[in-house]
Amino acid sequence: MKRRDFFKFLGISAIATSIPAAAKTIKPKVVIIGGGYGGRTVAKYLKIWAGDSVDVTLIDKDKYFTSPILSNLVLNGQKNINELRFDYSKTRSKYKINFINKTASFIDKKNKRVFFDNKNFINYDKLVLATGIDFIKTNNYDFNKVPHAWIAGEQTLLLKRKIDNLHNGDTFVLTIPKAPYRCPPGPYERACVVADYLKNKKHLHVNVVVLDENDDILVEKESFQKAFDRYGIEYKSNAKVTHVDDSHLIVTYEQQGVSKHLKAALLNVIPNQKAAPIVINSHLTDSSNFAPVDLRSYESTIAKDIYIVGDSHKSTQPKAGHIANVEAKICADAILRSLNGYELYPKPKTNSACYSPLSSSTATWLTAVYEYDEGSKSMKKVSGGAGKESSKNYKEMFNWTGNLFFDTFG
Amino acid sequence: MKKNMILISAITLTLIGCGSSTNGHSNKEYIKDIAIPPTTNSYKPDDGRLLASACYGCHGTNGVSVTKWDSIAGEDELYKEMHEKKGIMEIQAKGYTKIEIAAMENFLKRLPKAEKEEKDDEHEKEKDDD
Repeated sequence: MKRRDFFKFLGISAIATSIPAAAKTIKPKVVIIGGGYGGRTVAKYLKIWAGDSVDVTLIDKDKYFTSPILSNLVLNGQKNINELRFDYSKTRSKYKINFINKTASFIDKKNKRVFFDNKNFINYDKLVLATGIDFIKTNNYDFNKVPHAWIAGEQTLLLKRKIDNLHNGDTFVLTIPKAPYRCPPGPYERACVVADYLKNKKHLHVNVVVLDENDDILVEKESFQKAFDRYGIEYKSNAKVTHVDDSHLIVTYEQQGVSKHLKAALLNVIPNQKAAPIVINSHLTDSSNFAPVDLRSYESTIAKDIYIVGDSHKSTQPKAGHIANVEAKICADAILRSLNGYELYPKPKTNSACYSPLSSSTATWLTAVYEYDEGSKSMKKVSGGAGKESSKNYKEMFNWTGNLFFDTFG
Repeated sequence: MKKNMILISAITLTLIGCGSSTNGHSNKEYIKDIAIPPTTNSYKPDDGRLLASACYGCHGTNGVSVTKWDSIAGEDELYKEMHEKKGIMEIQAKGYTKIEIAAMENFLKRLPKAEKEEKDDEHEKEKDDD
């Protein structure tokens, strides 16, 4: 039945050619939704570690993934967005992973199926959701007028065009969401990179204002504070965005109980965040709006055989590409242990590393190691630290991304 | 351990470069492709392999770096290597126990050493800023 359903689906899809003809025996089917840092790594490592003994299918609505990592360097012209786009050709040919270029619309948990529409579906034995983030808007406004640029791609290019249209005396307002959100240093990094670009490359006097809903700079405070001072960035903490007027580009925010307005020539509101719609609609989240999981495997604590890695899951770990790549390997290994009747690895460790550019030629870094704590069933930080701004770190940044891109997409 | 477990046979370094760079680094400089075909047809758990895989985000798949950073495939002095570095590596080293590092090394040392394509700039590495 399962096989027939699967091939029924294949019949209407171009991916039929990617199934090896020799695949006669029934193999466990792992289906992964989302081709970013988490999803792509789960798929690749399932194949590296278990080869043809497992059937792996990756579903993504896009033909390529655009890396949010390094995307702030598109804004200041240091990177072309094409360098951050990763298609699925390698995933398919090198690792024999099936790729379905469709939107997964809902999950039938009872029958273990992912539906693309009312009729067409794919069966799974294990399902991985690596679906990233979604936004919580304060009110209904147009992302084309007030870009977030927090999911990289067209939004990044849109923000870039708007930055390039700024003039002397304009105000650029960037707002930082309440934690947890994707990439903790990212918004501070963006403020610095854009301010540096406007001031030192475009030679413009643009007021850069940062409204942060958090009560302080969350990470690498010393480096970011120094850079903010250097660029003359106006930083306001505890500033919660309550309304966005996209026609007049006015942001309303609340600070210490007082409601204030700010008019900008360019508003870059990075909204508060939650798990992707399919995770929430499948009732896999709790009151935090993220999905609780067993952090030894990333299997949902709500639904069996569904795993959530990366930004959609709930834990103390940062939501970021590098650590999603590591979580993905723990998840892939745990899935293979489960399929082959082995116990879970009891004390997994994850790590996080991240370089943040502060200008077109300098960067800083942040790193940490997390360990599974049996008592609290959470990930505890066992080591951590940050670097200082330097031009050497700017160069090292590309040694880091080169291997991270390769390990994830190559 | 089966020999075919991880055979990074023919470490072919080919360049894939799509898209051009406006300035600075292009794809060609940092995205290279090393053929690592899945060579196993069955799964056996390996704690050292799992732990070591956390290093690959910085050191490349199966420890084969495609940038100037060190490859760790074939590494048989992992503890020493981890602890003599500064910066990010120093902080990473503090996060792992001797037993974990031994398990990682036990896996990594059996991988064929990567061909060193580019000589690391050791001088630059030593004055690593933190």
